Amino acid sequence: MMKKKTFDRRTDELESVFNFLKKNGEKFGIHGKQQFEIELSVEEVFMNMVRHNSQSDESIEITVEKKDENKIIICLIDHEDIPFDLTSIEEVDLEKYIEEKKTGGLGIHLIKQLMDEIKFEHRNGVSSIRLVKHI
Amino acid sequence: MLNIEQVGNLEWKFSGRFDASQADKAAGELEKSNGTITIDMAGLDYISSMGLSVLVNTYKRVHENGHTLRLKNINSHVRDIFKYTRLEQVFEIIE
Repeated sequence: MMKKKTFDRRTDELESVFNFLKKNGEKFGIHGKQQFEIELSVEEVFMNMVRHNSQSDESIEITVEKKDENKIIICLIDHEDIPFDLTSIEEVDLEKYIEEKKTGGLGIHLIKQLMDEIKFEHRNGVSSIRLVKHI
Repeated sequence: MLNIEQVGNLEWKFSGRFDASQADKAAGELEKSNGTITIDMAGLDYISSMGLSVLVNTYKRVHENGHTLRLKNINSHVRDIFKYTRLEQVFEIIE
């Protein structure tokens, strides 16, 4: 069973994104920490798409699906001519990061900590980030 | 939605959700102060990397003058995020 919704490319759409994830999370039996981790990972990807493709008027599509009883798959789909592969960003050197007290760049680090899989694809002007969480 | 309540000269209570849409609001509130800042996070259910950035920037600003940022009553989900990012080594965490 797959659920799909599109969202405007705006930071203040986050509340609608969370409502969509919550509603479907409940249907799929996800609560507490797992729901928190899914929402956080989706926010990081969504905001990355908002920031890195800010000239676009196209909406961002999110799908949520439960597979094999223990797998939640979330896909964020964006239209972009020049692909930006979030997953290719170099892993943050946390020691250096803490030492220099930098800000930013933690999003992808968190996604990798919280999700079991993350995969980027770009075909015919459409980029997708697929997140998998084992529950 | 992030609710911010100032409960002392240098102390705030944060509750709700600290996501990217709330970052400007929180940064605007915290930039008013200079000294060791305490944030009670008992009611905070969620924080993302944008929320963390606001806290790091606040820490950097007050640390320049020899002060720090104290976070107290952090719930377990939020605490995990500080662990994963090792920011618990930067802020003063009060149990």
